[in-house]
Amino acid sequence: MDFSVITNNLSYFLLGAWPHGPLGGAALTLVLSVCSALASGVLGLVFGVALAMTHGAAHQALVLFLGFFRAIPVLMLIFWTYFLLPIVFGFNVPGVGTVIVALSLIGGSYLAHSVYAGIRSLPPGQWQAAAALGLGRVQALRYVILPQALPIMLPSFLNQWIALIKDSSLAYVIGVGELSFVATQVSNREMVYPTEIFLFVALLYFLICSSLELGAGAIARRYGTAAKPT
Amino acid sequence: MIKKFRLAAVIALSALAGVAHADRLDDIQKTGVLRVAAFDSNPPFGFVDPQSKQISGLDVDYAKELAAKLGVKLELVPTNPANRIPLLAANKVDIVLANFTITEERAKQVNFSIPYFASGQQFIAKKGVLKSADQLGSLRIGVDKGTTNEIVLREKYPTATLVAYDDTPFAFTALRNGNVQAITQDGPKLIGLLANVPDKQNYEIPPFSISDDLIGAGLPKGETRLTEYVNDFLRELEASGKAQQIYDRWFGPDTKTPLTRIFRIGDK
Amino acid sequence: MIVIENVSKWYGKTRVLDHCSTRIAQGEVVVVCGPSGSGKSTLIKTINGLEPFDEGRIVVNGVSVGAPGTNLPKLRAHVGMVFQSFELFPHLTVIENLALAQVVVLGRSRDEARTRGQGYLARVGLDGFADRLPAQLSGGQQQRVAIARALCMDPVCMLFDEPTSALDPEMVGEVLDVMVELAGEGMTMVCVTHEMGFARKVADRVIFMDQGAILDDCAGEAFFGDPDGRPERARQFLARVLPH
Repeated sequence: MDFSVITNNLSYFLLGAWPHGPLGGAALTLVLSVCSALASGVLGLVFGVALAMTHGAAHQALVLFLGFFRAIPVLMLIFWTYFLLPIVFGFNVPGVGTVIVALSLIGGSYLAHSVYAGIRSLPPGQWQAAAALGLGRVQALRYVILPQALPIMLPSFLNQWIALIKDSSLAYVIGVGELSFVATQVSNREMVYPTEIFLFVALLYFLICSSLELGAGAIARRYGTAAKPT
Repeated sequence: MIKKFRLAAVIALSALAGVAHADRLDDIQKTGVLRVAAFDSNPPFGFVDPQSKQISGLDVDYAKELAAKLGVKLELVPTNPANRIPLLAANKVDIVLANFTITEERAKQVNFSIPYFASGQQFIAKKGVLKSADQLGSLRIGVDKGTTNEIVLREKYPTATLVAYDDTPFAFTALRNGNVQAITQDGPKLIGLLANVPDKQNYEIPPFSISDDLIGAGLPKGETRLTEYVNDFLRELEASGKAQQIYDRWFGPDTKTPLTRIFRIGDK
Repeated sequence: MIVIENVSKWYGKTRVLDHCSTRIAQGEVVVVCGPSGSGKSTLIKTINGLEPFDEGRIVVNGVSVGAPGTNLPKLRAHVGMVFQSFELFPHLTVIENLALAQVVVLGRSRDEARTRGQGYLARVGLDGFADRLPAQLSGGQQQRVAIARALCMDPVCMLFDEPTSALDPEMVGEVLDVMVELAGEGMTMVCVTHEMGFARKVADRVIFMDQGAILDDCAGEAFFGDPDGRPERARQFLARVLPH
């Protein structure tokens, strides 16, 4: 093993061509992940709450809509958004935007069901008690249901976000220079160090994912205790 | 399979949407940006330079000259072989300069400039494995997805076992690991590849080729003015001697990949 | 104060309320009893609209509960309800449980809501428990907090849905004491309960239900003092629940 290929190209792995070109590498993976984690979280909350608050046809339509995004592979959605939207609607989404939109929609659809399940997991008596005090459904959701449901949902969010970090590597299909893409470029130029390069890439993904897990664990310990019966 | 399906979908929809609106040459001059799809993993045509961290190579030099002639900024979009036509169809780039072999099939979907490079489809194998083209029918051969090499090999040697990879370096890794017994690509690309391999003494490029390929610039279907502009540009480049300079920079006698120039722009 | 006229309700094909009618006057304490599954809880929950009904009419304090335009949250804000399983909000402290609806629904300031909350906590005998979490309280204490929470809203009447059924026997008394005290202050109360001792002590009226129908509706003294005047089902029920 010869890890000089890593040290020689370290800044390219971490930052891409930046500052003399667009940001890439691990930094772009982080940017893609953070943006799509936030957006998927918001979408998941909005759609999950919508699932919990709707009935009948509207509910079914929403389930279908979310089912669509859960059913298509991330790779397909990225590819379709990037290449087909401009052709069909004359609407051009840049590569980075495409990846964030695709990851957010798919992550958001998964999270919506987690949020819905979290809301449903609370006893119906909590809704009734809130209603009996004169709270409307939105107020009940905001002050009574979500504060209890969100800590329950945290592990689902974490799982989804970790999956999302790894899925950001699918950006390669449209040439977005995130970590695995720049690693492939270097590997293809250097030819004989794929083991070293992809071991290093795996280590970077591991570091990113486990720091998210540690961070979330710390947050859960800090704020989670108040919500838990002792 | 997936890639083929995707490509078909892109083509079908681009046909539906209709291709001709504004003139692309005007658009480029108006926006002041020329968007070029180039390889990022295929030395010496297009690869990421370790020092500058920018995509460079023979195709990129052509792109730079074209942008300079147009007086606009150059924006390089990295591509693999399979994305070349979708990038044009989806109006993500104005021109493909990525070792793009001119074929009739592709000419139904894109415009081609006059050829600016010629090569033949050749093979790399471990030393002593591949002596003549007759053996090809009995070998496992690595090819790049979405290239003409794949199609030609299937037609001429239907009994060969083909394994498709995303890119030449992947195919070469498969060769190193013994997954395939040979890989095929355009000769100059294989020479460029072999030049970067530390243990190149173990491999050889047998001295035969199974096709004559002409390489041209790919342009959006129906963009006649832009195509003519690029043709004029290529002819000028040859006349001024710049085409020779570019060639020598990558394939000249002092390079890692010396290769005699057998084709000049305008020959065909 | 509360008018219930010919109210019926079905779950699919099962009739759970069968032409129920009664009137409850200001300051009256009414106990609803009957075997389990008789529809008592369903009936009491139709009064504040937690359970919709299919036929009939319910008017509370001049507001028709089932009418399409009725602002149910506004109505419920002034109809206190206490549940069998307390339903305190487990993520909030006791005082926050008491203050939440006052602030969010009635628009009181946080300070005002807390001050009132403290007052009602003292009345139910839980001074000093303001900053505990519900999970740190006994069942009886939790139910008293729930009563205080309802009282903070200045209710025009109070609905109790089996408030002591989920409690350990030794905690039943502390909750009933609070309810007796409340009755003594003239609060209009509708209580679904099996506590016949409590009923005998405070009920102005007793309603007996079976299979969704109101079979008996009479003064408390009559219900306990005149077994012969009771319908057959009510007599059987009384014979089982009253101590021998």
